[in-house]
Amino acid sequence: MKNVGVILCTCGGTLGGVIKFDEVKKFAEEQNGVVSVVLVDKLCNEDAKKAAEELKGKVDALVVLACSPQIYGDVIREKLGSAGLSVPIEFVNIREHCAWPHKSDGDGATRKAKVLLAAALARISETKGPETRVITPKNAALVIGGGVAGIRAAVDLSNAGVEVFLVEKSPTLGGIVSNHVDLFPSFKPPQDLLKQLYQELKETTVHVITCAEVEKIEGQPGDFKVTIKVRPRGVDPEKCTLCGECAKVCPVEVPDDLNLGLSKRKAIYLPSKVPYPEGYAIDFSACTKCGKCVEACKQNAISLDGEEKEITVNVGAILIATGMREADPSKYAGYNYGKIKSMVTQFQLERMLDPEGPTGGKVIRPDTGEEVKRVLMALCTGSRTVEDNPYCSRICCTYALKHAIKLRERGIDVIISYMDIRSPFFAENLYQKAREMGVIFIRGDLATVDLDPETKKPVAYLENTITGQIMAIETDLVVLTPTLKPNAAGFLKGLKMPRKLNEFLQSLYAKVRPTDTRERGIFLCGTAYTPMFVSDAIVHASAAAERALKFLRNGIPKETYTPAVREELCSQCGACEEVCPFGAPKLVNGKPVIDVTKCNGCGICAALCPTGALQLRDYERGLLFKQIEAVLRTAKSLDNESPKVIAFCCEECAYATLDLLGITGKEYPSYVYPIMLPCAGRVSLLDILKALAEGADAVLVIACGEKSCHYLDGSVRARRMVAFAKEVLKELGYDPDKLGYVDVVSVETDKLLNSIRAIVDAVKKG
Amino acid sequence: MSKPLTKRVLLLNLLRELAIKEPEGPIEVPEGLEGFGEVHYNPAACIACGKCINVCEDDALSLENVLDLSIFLDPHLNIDEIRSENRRILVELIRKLAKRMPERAIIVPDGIPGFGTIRYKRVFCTACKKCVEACTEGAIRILPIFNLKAIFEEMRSESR
Repeated sequence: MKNVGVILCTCGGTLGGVIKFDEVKKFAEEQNGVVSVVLVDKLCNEDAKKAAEELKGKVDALVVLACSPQIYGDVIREKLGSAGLSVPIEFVNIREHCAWPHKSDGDGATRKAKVLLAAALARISETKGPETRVITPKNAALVIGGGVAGIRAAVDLSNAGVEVFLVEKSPTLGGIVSNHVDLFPSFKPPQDLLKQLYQELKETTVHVITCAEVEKIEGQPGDFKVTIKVRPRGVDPEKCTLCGECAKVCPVEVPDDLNLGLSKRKAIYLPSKVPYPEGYAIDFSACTKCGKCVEACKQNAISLDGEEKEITVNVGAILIATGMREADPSKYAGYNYGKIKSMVTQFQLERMLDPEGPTGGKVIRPDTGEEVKRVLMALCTGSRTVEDNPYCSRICCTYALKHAIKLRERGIDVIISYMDIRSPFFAENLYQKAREMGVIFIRGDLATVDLDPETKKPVAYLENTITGQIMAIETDLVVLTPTLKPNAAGFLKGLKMPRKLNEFLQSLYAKVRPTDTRERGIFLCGTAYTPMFVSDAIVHASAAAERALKFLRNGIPKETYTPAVREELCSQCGACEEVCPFGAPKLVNGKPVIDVTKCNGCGICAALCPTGALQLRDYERGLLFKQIEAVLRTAKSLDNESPKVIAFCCEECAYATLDLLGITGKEYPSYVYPIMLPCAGRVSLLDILKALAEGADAVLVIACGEKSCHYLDGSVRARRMVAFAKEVLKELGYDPDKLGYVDVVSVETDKLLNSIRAIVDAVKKG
Repeated sequence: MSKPLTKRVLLLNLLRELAIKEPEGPIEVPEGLEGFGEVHYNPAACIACGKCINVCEDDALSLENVLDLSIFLDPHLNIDEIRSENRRILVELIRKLAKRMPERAIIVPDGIPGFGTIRYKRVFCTACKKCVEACTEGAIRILPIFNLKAIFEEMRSESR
């Protein structure tokens, strides 16, 4: 018998309004096997130490009643562990599953907390915990994207002794920063920052691979195999002296895409003011291979017959530093961007303001070439929209203010139409300065831009959202401030890399793991994660490098819940071999043998084993039955009146969606009791019948979205199992509507709520 | 019947020609006589693995994806004769839950191993006992009877 400690966390006292903690504490103290009960306010924080001190040495297992283990489970485990309390933990989610979704039913929420506590106690008395194997990752990392964030992370990792490959799509490092005249809000030239980063990079052993794109990522965390496509550069940067003779003789001119097409460049060109590696590059999509550059180059640095090649690198960790870009404003109807040529984006304006840029630093109308006297800047182009992008891109207000100041310095009139000015911290100074310099601010919503038929100047129509007045403002140039979007990262296809609504990549948990992803060993770095200022991107990159380093150093404690085979029961039927999505069980001489490196612990084989010979570790049929009994018997003893619904739910999306119901405050009856399984595919006919035989009024199986099941076909298996069980129940005289199945991806709260309601309706029908 | 005429079928055809009255019941097969007997199938213990079908050289056995739940409610069913632990629990649960006698067999959907019903053709069976050896669940036995009445009925229904 285990000595069990129970920790109750009030979540900073916030749950006390719903859950009666004194009652739950008393209930816990009365349970068999419970030796100590501790009530704390912030287990995710300083109270972990307090709880650990109190329970250390007294208990060999813990039941923690707190928030969702999907969100804070690891943090709580770590905090208790570092305070000296490392014992198996069973979590009961009294926040997202009790207090929040049943806030108008305090008695119900309190009962549910007790019921789930009883089930957790039944469970922890028998669980063995996972089998742990440690995989040592390869001491190498791949950084994808050579902007400031990518370089920072690569340097940090290399300095810590990791072999680093830094892959950059273009012929030079530097990313979006390298084409700016000055950083904001500091007004410092980014070239200084880049030179400093390049210097640090030169002192490392980082393998810099430019003109290269990642094709695909295969393998496992700690042992990724990455295929990279490398285009020929045409110029050997080792030999190139940047003399520029090649570009002088090159007969091919193409519009310089970075410079609005206002200037042209040759097919052989210098890809940045401060290129790294230091050398020219050939744009082979334009080059005619005439050979003049080869003749002109005294260093023998040029070769026209390089071919695209594929290389493979084997790394333990991957950092995604693919950066961001301005959205294409032509997709926002009404502005007529692209049709009216006197309209540019902030980034295009940046290029015009560059003394070494296409216009020599003059601000001109792109269509007529006339110097501009008056500019209208519209903020939030495509940001903070109701429909597809209700977010602020964070940095663009400051970016626009920087440009407004520079335009005023040139004597150009500036009108800014804004929703709110969001210039954080010291960027506030820019706003004050812009006001002092006479920039006119109109709180307005730009509706459309047209050309005046006579003056041929753009006219911006906007609503002054303070006065309600519709304004038509004639100007020389309209500057749009497009919302920021992440650069494409096609190589992520097939990986579990969800994106936020604004298309940027999601981290594992925004607050506590802002650089980790769902894919172990893959980290986010800089603006691939979210728009940020350069200084923040560098901090984020260093943080990502640190996390990657920790991962590479500590190895992967792979915790596995593998099924055990009871040979005396096995009928050698081969069903396990047939149903496993990963090919883990194999019949060897008629006996099933589980390959632990392939097994993912879903339990589909155990659910479908006809005899019971296969039992998933810690999710054995007998243990699950005990949990079912504990839930239903406790619920009955506490409240014989209310119905009882068992919700078998997978611990992936199903659990997360149940969490979201709580987070979004969508209420459902407190008599729906979740029982967590690794995958809905683990639910067998027996488990469903057991719940009903123990007095459940209904059973709901909640699975991951069928296309996004973490175990490939677990959800589909669960759906079929439920269909079969419904047929069985119908023949035994039951209403099949009292058994439900729903598959949800973790945002589909309404779909889940509807299926809970359908089950509840069936229960009420009697 | 599309099968070639085996020695067994020739014998049965001959017996039918010779018969001057309808056989009344099964005849006991004397000890030591090989080749005659009847499969006794316990559907409650069967896990539909199909191993008996794979070993049957006479093609006397087949698997149908149906399950008659009333077998589990049969008061004569001896749970101790069921080897599969899961099946024993299923029988207990069904007995506890059943509000009525099932009226029809249910269809077992694809992808649910472990459930189904073995169909048996006496006409082809030569009682070789290979199925008995193959069955890990003890769901098949051979009874020492020669059921000519049932065999004739089977032949008649086949030829119809």
